Amino acid sequence: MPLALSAINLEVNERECIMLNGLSGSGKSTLCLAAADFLKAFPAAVSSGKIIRHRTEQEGGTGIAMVMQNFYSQITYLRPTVFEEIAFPCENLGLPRDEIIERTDDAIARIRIGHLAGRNPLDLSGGEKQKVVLATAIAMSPDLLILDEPLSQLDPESTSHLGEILSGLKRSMSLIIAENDPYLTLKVADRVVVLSDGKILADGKLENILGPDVECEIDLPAWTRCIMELQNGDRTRDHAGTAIRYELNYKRAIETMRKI
Amino acid sequence: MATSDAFITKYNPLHHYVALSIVFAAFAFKLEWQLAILVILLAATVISPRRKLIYRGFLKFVLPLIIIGFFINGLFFAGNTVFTLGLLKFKGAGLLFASRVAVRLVLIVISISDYFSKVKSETVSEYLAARGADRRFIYIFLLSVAMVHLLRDKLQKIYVAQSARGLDTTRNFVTRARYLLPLLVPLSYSYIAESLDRGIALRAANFADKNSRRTKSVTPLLKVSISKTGLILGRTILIAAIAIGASRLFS
Repeated sequence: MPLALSAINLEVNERECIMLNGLSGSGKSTLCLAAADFLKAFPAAVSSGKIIRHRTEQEGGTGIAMVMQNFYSQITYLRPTVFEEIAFPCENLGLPRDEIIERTDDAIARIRIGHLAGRNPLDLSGGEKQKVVLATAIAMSPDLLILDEPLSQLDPESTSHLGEILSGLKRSMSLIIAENDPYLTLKVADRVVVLSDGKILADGKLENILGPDVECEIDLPAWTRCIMELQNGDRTRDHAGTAIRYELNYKRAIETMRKI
Repeated sequence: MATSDAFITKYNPLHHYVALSIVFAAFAFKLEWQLAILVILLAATVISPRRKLIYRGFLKFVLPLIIIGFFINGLFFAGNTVFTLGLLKFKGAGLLFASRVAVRLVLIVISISDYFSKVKSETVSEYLAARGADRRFIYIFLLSVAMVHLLRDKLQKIYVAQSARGLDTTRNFVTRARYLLPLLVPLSYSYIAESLDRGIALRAANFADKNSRRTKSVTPLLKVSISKTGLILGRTILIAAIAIGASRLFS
């Protein structure tokens, strides 16, 4: 059985936003779990490598917060109101009552879910639940926030709003986001890490990875295909192998996306 | 606009003490007193819309069992015959014994149901955590409690999906249960498959954090809606009920 990740070495700098791009099964979610130090249960998932986190200890900071791909399991269903659900991790930290309420109120205001505060988490829709889990992570004020496909259930308006929120959060914490969405990549990413078959194929600034007039021969994330369609770029399918070969002018594609 | 405090659960530990006291009292008092408590509890159950479910459950499941037990005991005890039904002779001592057992059973069932309808299981875990219970035990407790909500949610979805595929929802409970019974195995399996995710999620919510101060101080967000005097009174009643109940049971 192939390993989910192999020879992964990733450095996360302070107040930096890393966007993990890659096709399904490339290891994005496993890398998120590894970065959150939740992979102890799966020693066979990673062959070697390490994740180094550069940070300065913040007062009241809680280390790492994560929004999982299966965010439904992150709703504890142990609290009768959304407000208490969001406050749950802060309670676990034993913070003073006033601080818990302040943090929870702040997170609710940021995600704009004030109208859900008194409702039972069981009665929420998928998108609403995802917003609640996001608010829960933000309320923890972590040093590193990891989001695994945070847009999967959000509507376009919420996606745009989340981009703004994440841009703001970047000033106070590091972010790792596993998402193939072009809007979010362009809006918040400082660095893009391209994963394929559990390995890092490219790691750097967007312009450096997908430089102008570069012929790429990597399994590109879906969003580049979307750009390609918009640009009517030339493409050739490599029938000999599984990889798809693209010939693109990425600079042009990115400029188009920025205009959009 | 509602303040944040409006969204925070009020927790009244008196419910614990009263419900548990009734359970122990079921063994303590004479039959007529037990009947009096039963009448009060049943009246409260019938009046309160929140407890209607308990009342319906009682009528459907507990009452038929009690009636059967009543007649069986009446048949097999020695003593004077109270009445005859064809060849069957019902004895007074047997019926009296069955009455005592039935009343106790009903008291226990209703007080426990009432306890669970009022005291939410999550507040029980808060209560345990605040008093220094083992974190690993509460961890498992929370996962188990979450399973109840999750399975109910999933079962509802499956039920709706099956209805969309033609399941006859107009039939009685037994028929519907028969259709849904084969789905319980994949439903349980899906929960087991998801339990690892839920465990990670609880860790992500700092629950298993070794440095957590959760077990060292009372959970801060919870609002305990009872005075210290009330708390002491509740505890005294419970201790008294346990003592009297135990003395009657073993005397």
